[in-house]
Amino acid sequence: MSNPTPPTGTNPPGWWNRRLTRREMLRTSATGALGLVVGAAVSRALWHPSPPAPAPVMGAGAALDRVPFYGDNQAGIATPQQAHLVLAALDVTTERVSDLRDLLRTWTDQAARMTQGLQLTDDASLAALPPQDTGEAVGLPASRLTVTFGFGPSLFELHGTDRFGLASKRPKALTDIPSMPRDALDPMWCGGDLVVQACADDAQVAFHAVRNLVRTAAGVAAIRWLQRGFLGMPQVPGTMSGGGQRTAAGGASDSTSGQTPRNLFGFKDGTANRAVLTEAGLRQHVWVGPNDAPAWMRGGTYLAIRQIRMHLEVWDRTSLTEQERTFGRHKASGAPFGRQDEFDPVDPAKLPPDSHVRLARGDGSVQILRRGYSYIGGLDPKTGLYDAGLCFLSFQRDPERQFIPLLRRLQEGDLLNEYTTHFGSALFAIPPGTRPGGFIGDTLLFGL
Amino acid sequence: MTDSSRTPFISRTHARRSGRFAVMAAALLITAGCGTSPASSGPSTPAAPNSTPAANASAAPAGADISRGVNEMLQQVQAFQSALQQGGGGSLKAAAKQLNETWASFEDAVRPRFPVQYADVEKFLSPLTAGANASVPDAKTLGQLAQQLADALQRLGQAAKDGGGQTSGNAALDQAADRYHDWTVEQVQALQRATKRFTDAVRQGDVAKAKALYPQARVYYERIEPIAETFGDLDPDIDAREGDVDPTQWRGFHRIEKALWQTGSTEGLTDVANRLDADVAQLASQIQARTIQPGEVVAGAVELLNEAATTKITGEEERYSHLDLVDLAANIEGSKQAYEAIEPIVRAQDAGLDATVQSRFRALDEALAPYRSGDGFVTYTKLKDADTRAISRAIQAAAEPLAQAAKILG
Repeated sequence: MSNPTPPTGTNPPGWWNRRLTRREMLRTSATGALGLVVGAAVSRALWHPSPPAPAPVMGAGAALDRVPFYGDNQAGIATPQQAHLVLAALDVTTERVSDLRDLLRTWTDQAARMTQGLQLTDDASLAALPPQDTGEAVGLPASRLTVTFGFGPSLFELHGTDRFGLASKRPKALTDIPSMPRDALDPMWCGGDLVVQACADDAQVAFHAVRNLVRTAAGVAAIRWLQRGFLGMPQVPGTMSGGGQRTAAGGASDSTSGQTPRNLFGFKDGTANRAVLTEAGLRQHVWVGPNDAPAWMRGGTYLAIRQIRMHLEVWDRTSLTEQERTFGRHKASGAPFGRQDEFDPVDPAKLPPDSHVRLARGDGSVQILRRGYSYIGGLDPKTGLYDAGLCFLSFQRDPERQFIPLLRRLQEGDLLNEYTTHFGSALFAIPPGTRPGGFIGDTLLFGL
Repeated sequence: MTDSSRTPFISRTHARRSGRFAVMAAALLITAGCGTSPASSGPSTPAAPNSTPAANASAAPAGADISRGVNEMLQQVQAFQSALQQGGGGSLKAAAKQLNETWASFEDAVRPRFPVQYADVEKFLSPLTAGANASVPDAKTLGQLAQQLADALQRLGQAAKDGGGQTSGNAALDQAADRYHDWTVEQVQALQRATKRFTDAVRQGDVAKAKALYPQARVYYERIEPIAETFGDLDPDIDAREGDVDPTQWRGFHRIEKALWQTGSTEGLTDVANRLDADVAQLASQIQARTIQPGEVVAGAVELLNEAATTKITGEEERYSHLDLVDLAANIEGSKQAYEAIEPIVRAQDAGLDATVQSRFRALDEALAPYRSGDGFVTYTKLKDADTRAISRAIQAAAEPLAQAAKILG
């Protein structure tokens, strides 16, 4: 699932794939608020291509783990990846589009609060009532929580029915991912009218967000499937203790190593993101552009989801040679075949033609932003083997042009298929961000 | 009379199916507001339906004005009764019209302060008006309604005197709890009778008949489960499932259920049947003897949906007969009934919440409708995951706003 291309532009090597340090994040929001240019790395902040809305005033240190909620794009996409994911798809159960609009409005307000480390309400709860906020995030830092919302194709049209008068607004690219060779899809793990992606450096903070949003949705939308993911953040020895990039408020997952996380097969996953995670890369590959249709999606993107079980026991009985041949990369260094370093350009001629990296790369012209997480679902009750793998997530500007052909190439010929099973699939339109007073999805639903 | 668009959400088919007027009477409570109200020409017609209780209260006359209105109406009820004795006709209609005009002149002051008594008066005034205007008035029914209306007015007058016009719902809450208590007593008495019919069949060794009568008894228990659970061992004695209690202590409905459906025999069950009768009789006398707190009514409504959402939708409760949907529907009926008791208070405090709860209850009925079969429901074994998921979602959707009704407890 890695797809390196040569770095573009004239940026200093290494900065683009480094997760922002807490200090940098603080400076970045200061940049947005004050319009100052603090330095190259900061002014080119990858996770916010345009000046963000002013961040709430807070003490130094407090802002370090808070990702601004409001902005031109939704957070949780170009945001440096957090350690934990809770991902939920929901079915809309109401028949009134006004209910849906009101839900998005409430969700927006709630997400804006929770991402800033606040409870759902400042009011004390009545003793006779169930507490409004479920409470398990009390005392926990905001943990860089981001909440990202999206719309599935079935929201616009379900079994040929225009449920909410939105059918004419469905983006052409927003359809179910077509069936692929080797698909073993379980309908319970596919589709959904709405998606909520919560990412945070604390699993409990991420779950708290989804749990409260789902509770809020009762009677309007009901949860369809839920996945939980995690990501091990590699640390460079020495950076954990007092390295120049650390701050006093630093937490355990404040990775500044710039190393690519590894998937459960032990291989680096996401190496190719470096080319996408630049302002230009995001504009070109991720954000729906100012001239793209439909207009309501401009500043948005599309989220592709594949739930991929990885047959760990089988993989673990596979020789290192075969493992590396399957990926087309060396396991320890992450370097592509015929190269020394993880980020060296791939030479397709050196890679086995059916290796994962070779097929994922294609002709090198198409990029996507990978943001997947590993998952462990326990055991397969029939076999006692691990139910574990990858919750593959990618963001792209045009799934028809970018993701679908890539997926087809992989599903048709990838050596990795021998070790994996795709059991879930979904595609969502992720609308643009919003400003205080607006709501996520208002470009689609406002006035309905 | 601002709620003429509301429709009953206690299903009449339920009432007919169970053959008990209790549920039907409850339905009347809701339908009462749907009656015609020709009094809209009165000098002070109802304010906007969405006006808040607070706004009403601040503009409302003092408790003394309510007393004055009540006394006037009581005289008008007497006039109505005389007209009835004289054979009805034009004077009957005129008396009904006067009643409605007087009520319209002060009902807005009543509704926010005495929601229970308000609903009480409405319950009888509306059918009385409709009946008086019928082409052939039913003298007997109208006579009863007039007496019931007089009683309701007396209660309102008393509440106005006691409450001194306070907006506090305490008296209203207590009355709601009393009403709910009356209903649970009716249910447990019906349980006693239905259980006896069931155990008679068991004692007679009539397996087929016993199987047919089993769900009829279960319904009454499941409707009042949260109250029944408050008496220590009585709930396990009556309702324990296999494995819930020491096997040597296991008795009650589910012990008989297992024998009927698994072994198809009533052998050795006479003792169990006798004890079930005795346990249910004890339950009935204990429920009658106790009072119910307002908090229990609210909590009970939610608890019944929680029961439905946990042990019923999973098929654990009726693991031999697979009649889980019968229990589940009974839990929902019981929940509705408990909500019904507090509904006027909720409506007065938060009309939006009340509308949401009622629409979610209706949606829940619709979610269950596909699984109805004859007088009952399809067996649990016929349900697929998608079916239980759909029912479960509808329960969740109702339970969330229902839990918010506890705000009336302050």
